[in-house]
Amino acid sequence: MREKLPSLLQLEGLDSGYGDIQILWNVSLTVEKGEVVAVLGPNGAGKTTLLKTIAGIIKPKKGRILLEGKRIDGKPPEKIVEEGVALALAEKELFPLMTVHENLILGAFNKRARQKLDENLEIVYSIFPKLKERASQKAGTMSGGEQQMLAIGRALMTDSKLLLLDEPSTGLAPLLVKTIFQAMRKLMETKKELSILLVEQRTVQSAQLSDRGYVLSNGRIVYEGDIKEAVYSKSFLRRYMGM
Amino acid sequence: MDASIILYLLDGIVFGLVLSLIAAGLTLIYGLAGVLNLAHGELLVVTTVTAAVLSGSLGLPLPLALIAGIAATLAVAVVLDRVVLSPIYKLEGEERVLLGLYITLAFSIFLHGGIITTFPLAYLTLNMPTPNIELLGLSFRTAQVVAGVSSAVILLGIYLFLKKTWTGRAIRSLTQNETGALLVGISVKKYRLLVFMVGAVLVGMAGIVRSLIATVAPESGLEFTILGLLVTVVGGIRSVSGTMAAGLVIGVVYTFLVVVVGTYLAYVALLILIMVLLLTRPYGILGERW
Amino acid sequence: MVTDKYVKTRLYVLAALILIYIALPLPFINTPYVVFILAQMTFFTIFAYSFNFLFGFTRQLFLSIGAFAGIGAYVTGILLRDGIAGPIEAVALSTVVVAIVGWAVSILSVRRKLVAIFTGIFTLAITLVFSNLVTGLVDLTGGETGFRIRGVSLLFLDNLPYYMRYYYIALTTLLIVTVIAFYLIYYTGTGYAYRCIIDDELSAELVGINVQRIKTLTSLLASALLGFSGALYSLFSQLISPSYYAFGSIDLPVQIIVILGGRASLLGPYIGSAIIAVVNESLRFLGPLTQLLYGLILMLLLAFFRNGIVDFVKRRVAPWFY
Repeated sequence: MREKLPSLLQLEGLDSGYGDIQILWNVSLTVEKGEVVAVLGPNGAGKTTLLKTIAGIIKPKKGRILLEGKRIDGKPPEKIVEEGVALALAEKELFPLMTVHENLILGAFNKRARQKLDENLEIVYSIFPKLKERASQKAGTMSGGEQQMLAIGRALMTDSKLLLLDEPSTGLAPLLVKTIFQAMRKLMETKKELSILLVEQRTVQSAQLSDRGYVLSNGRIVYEGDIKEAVYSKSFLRRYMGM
Repeated sequence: MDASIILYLLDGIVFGLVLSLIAAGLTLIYGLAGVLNLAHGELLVVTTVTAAVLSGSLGLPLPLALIAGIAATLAVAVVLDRVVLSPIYKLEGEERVLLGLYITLAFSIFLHGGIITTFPLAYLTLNMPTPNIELLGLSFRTAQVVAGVSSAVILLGIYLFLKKTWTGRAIRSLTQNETGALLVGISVKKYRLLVFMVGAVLVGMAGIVRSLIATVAPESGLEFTILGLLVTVVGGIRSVSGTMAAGLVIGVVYTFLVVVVGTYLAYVALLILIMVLLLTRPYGILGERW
Repeated sequence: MVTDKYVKTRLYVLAALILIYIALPLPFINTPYVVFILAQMTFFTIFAYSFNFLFGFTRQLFLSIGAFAGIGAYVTGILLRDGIAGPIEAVALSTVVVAIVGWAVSILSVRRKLVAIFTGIFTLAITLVFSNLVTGLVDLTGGETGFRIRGVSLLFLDNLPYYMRYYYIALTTLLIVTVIAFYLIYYTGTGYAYRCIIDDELSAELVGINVQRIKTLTSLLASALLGFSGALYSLFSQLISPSYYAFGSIDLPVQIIVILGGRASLLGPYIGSAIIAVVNESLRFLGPLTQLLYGLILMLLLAFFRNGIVDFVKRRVAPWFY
C-alpha cells in the first residue's frame, strides 16, 4: 500500500551548489505526508543549500526533486510556492516597512492561499499569539524572536503541504530559543497534516520534535533513521556531529 | 489670514502634487528595478509633445490627443525596460545602480535630442472654459482647482492600488525585499515592466496636470527629472508615501520662497535645504529605514 | 610598488604620448581653428582626469565637474575684470577655493557614508546651485550672457599664436599631472590602495587602508586641478558664461570620455578625449541632431563596451605581444 503512494517529497541523487562550487553531493531523502523530518549536521554542511535547492532558489546540477511524484526541480521559486512548498529562511527576509498583518497577508499571495486567507490567519495567530498583539507594528522594528515567528507565520500563510524551516533558532537568546521550539511544537499539534523539513543545529531539541532524521555532513547524507534516541548516544554525536 | 497666502498655499500644493506624481514613479522604478530613471522627466515631455503635436497641427480632439500622449509614453517606457535596460539587469548591487544611472541619462539625452530637433515648438497648454470660480469669497483659477483635485485623486488611486490590491502589495513587497517576495511566490520579472508602465502613466498625468497651470516646453524634461529626483531623495528613496509627502513639502516651500526671494534664489535655497536634508536624514523625511 | 608585465609598456606609451602631444599642433600653426580644437581637447582631458580620479579610482561620483571648473573660472574672471588681483593670484585663489569646496564635499559624503549614487545626487544639487547662482546674480556675473575678460600676458609664451599658448599651458599641466599620477600609482602604495577601494571598500578598510583619508585627499587634489584648469580655461576662452560650464557642456562629454577611454585608467582620458574631439568635429554638420547621436552612442557604449578602450586593448590586443 505504502509503496504505491508517492512520498510527499522525494529527492533522488541531488547535486547542488553556487556557480562552480558544488555543495551537495548525491543527496537522497524522503518526507512523507504529515511527517516531521529533521536534517541535522554541523555548520557548513550544506543544510541551508538543501532547503534553497528544494525551494527553487538554487537550481540543482543533477538529480530529481519530486513532490507527490511530480518533478518540481528546475521550476522557478514562485511556481514551487504555488505547488505547495514554503520556505522560512534563517535570515527571515521580511518586508520591514509593512506591518505584521500585511506581511502575513502577503504570505497568502498564491491563488490557493488567497481563498483560505482568513482561516490560515486565525491559525497563525492562535499558534503565535504574540503576532496578534503586534499585528499593526512594522516588521522591521520587531525583535529577532518575533521576526522569526513572523517568518514562520508568513510561510504558513502560503497554505503549503510542506514547510521548509531553516534554522529557526539561529541568533536568538536562549530564552527565545525555548519559545520558538514551544511554538513549533504547538504548530505541529495544530496542523497535523503539515509535513515539515526542519534544518537545525540544536540537535537534541529538534530531534525531540521530529519523527525521523538525517545527518548531513560535507554535503552528503551520512545517517538516516531514528534520531530521538540516537542523539543521546555519545558515539552518534562523536561520529556524525563532530562533538 | 491673508487671502493671498491661501492662494499661494494652493499654488504650492498643486505644484507639490505634480512633483509627487513624477517622484512616485521614480521611487517605484528604483524599488523594483534598482535603477534611478534619469529619463523620467523626458517621459513627461513625450506625453505633452505628442499631445501638442496631435491636437495642434493634426487637429485631433484634445482628449484623444492626451490619451495618445499617454500611450506614446507607455511605449517609450516599455522600450526603456525591455531594450535599453536589459543589459543592466544582468548586473548586481552598486554596479547596477551606477550603470543604470548612466544608461538612463544617455537615453534621456537621446530622447531630448530627438524631441527638440523634431518638435521644437510643441508647447502644451490646456485652457479651461471658465477661467475663475468663486469660493468662500475668494476667486480661484479653475485650472488650478482642477489640477489640484485631479492629481490628488490620481495619487489617492495609486495609494489605494498599492495598499489594497494584490498586484499593489506584490509591488510594495518587491521594493522592500526581493528575496522575501520570492519566498511567498512573487517574482520580480513579472512586475518590473508593470512598474515602468505605472510610472509612465503617472508621469504622463503629471505632464497633463502641469499643462493646466503652466506651459510645458519640449526642452523641460531634465528640469522635471531633477525636481522629481530631489523629491524622491527627500522622501526616502524606497518609500512611496514619503515621496508623496516630500512632494507637497517641496512644492509649498518652493512656492513661498519664490514669493520671498525670487525665482533663482528660491531654487538655490531649496537646493541647499535639500542638500542639508540629504546629509542629515539620508533615509528621507519620514525616516523610514529598510 | 605595483609591478605587472605592463609597467614597461606603460612607460614607453607615456614617453610616446609626451612627444606626440608636444609635436601635435606644429603642423597646424597656420590653421588656428585646428589648434583651438586641440587646446579644447587638452582642457577636456584635464577635466576627465579629475573626474577619473574622483570616480574611476575612488568611487566618488562627482556630477559637478562643470560647476567646479566654473567656480574656478568665475573667481578668476571676476577678480581680473574688477582689477582686484593679477592673473597669477587670481588663478591661485581659484585653485584654493575649488580645492576647499571639493574637499568639503568629500568629507561630508565620506563622514555620512553616502553611497556613490547619493554623492551623485548631492553634487548634482551643487551643479544646480552653481548654475542658478551665476544666472541669478546678474550684477556680479552678467547673468545668462556672462562677461568678457581681457587677454593676459603669459610671458615667454606670448610669442606663440594665441590658441597655441593655451594649448601648451594646458598640455604642461596635463603632463605634470599624468607623470605624478603615474609615479603615485605604479611606484608607491597608492596604486594598491586605489585598486582595493575599487574592488571592495570594506575589505580595503579591513586590510588597514585609510579609505577616508585617501578619498578626501584625492578629492582635494582633483578639485584643485579643476579649479586651476577651470581658471585657465576662462583665460583661454575670455568669455565666461553659464552655458560654458553647464552640465551638458562639461560633465556629459567628460563622462563619455572617461567611459570610452576606460575608468581607472591613466591613458584612458587621452584616448577618450581624442576620439570625442574627432567625432565632435565630424558630426558638426548634423547640428542639433548630434545630441541624439551622442545619447545613442553613449547607450551602446554602456551596454556593450563599458570597460573602455584601454581595458579592451589590454585583454584582446596586448596578449598577442606577450
